Amino acid sequence: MSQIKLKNITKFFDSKRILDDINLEVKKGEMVSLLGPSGCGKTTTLKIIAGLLNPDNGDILFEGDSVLNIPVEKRGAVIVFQDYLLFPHLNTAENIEFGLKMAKIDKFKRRKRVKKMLQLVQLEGYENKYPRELSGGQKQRVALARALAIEPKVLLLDEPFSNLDSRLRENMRDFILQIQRELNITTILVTHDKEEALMTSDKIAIMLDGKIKQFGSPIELYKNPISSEVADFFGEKNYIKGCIKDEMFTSDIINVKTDFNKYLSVKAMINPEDIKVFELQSNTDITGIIKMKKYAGDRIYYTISVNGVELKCISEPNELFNIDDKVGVNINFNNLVFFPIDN
Amino acid sequence: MKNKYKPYVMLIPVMIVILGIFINGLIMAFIQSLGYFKAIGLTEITFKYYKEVLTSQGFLSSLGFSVYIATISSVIAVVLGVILAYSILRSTHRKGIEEAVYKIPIFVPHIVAALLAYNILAQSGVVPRVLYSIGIIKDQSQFPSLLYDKNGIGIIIAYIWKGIPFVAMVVYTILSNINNKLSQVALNLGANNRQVFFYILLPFIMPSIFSSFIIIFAFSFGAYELPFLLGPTSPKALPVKAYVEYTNSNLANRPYAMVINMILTIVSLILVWLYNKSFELISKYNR
Repeated sequence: MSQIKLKNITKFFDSKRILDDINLEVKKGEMVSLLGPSGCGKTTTLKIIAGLLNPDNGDILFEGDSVLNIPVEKRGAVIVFQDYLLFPHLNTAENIEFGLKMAKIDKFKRRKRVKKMLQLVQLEGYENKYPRELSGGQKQRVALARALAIEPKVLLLDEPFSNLDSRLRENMRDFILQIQRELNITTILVTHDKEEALMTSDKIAIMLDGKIKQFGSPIELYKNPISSEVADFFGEKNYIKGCIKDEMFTSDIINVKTDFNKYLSVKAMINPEDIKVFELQSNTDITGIIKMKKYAGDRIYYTISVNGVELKCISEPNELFNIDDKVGVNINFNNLVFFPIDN
Repeated sequence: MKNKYKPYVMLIPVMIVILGIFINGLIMAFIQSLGYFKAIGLTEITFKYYKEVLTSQGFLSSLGFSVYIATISSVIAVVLGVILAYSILRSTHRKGIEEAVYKIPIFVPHIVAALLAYNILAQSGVVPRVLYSIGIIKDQSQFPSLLYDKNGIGIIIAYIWKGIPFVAMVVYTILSNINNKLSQVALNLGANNRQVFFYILLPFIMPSIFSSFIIIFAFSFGAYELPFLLGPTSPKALPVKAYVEYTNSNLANRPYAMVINMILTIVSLILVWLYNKSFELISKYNR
């Protein structure tokens, strides 16, 4: 049975539809990301799961039981907010202890639990520091410890890394992932960062305009996006317009056999890493001209013009070419994804 | 060097007014309280008047009466003011009307407040008349005499009526500026609404509760018009006593009036000091 299930959740703010028929299932111990641009309804979804907002329609089930009538303070779904929101008048230990104190757990047990949490987030010795005396990463860890202290049924992370600088962000990401695995706690992460979602999640839900567009494992979503708007979420893609007839895809630059026979007029998506450039040889099938080059150290981004169609590709750092060089182009056709073109 | 003195130079006009009128008055009062009042031939500096005043039964009962009125009215006004501010904060509909209406008593002068209290609470007032006409009391004189009584109920009610909106205004400003998300976090961590109020909101508004308490306490302790209009003949509130001594046609009584005024001043200075301390507390959380 799934730990958390959202059924047809709809939410309006002042007659504006923020969430539109959201369905989502999260299994126990899973880490699921809600990935989408800002304003797509991710945080609203999180607040609805926590009980800080009520849906206008639909149901939320925890372990099979509806929790719609369970108020926020009894629901056991704790959010770690983007801006940490530590209580400024309480020190680290008091912040972590807060939920336990509200639940009227006795002092001895509370102290023990706080100590354990401080160990978990590696902040021993910071018990008496106030939030204003902590760095961003430390505040983040206190916020996490405060949430985990009450042993929630589900941990909700609202853009937890976006206020940290890039190195700290990677550390915290690994750190939280490790804790999540260690405690096997069901977690929903809200993020607009594709890499964060891909690297941390068991499953990702792509959200756009208040709808979940696709839900699946990171590999599924990356390799088989159901639409170009989902695909574009994971970076720049190449699209080649063409048509399919008699199991053949034909276009200005490539002709490939395919078993995808549903549509006539299609565009084929090619990931930039599936296109390789090499030095021109006599038997080269496809040739192109380098139009643009961006050197990034461990890889090079090229834009190549093939028969007037511009293709983006990511190359190994040793494949060095200059602008206007004529090169050979190799396309890995195994990873082609076809999308119908609307008329 | 020039810049260092500039602020002081620029403050001179206002300082002349303050030092010239206010401090000068205070010094005059102090000198007279020590028994130096040349106009009637008193030139000997003495603590005699202080000794006499501080040991007189009349003064002590007046002091007690003033402290009692100020304490009771300020405590009740603060509690009700905080409850009012919190209820306005929690109300979900549009707050425009509430935010405007509750402030009205702040603009009403104390003398008008006294008149209102008289119209409503006197035995010939609105409340006894209503109670009489619906048959709860058989005669208007059965209504307890709240005005001019020894317990100062009328004065206390009038001060509470003036104090509540003031406290509510100060506290509401702070409450509405506390990050609403902190309450959400507390709820999310399992606190109920009562716990959110006591563990999250109250620590933030405590300094302003304290400072507004001091302001209304100092006012009701030192102000003269409400106890004069609504209070009993005996005991008199301290400011009323000072006024009576001051207007006594026997000028030899003047040092007694000044001793009482000096005592009122000292109490006020202590309250100002406490008020400043409470601001140090406020800044502690806002750093």
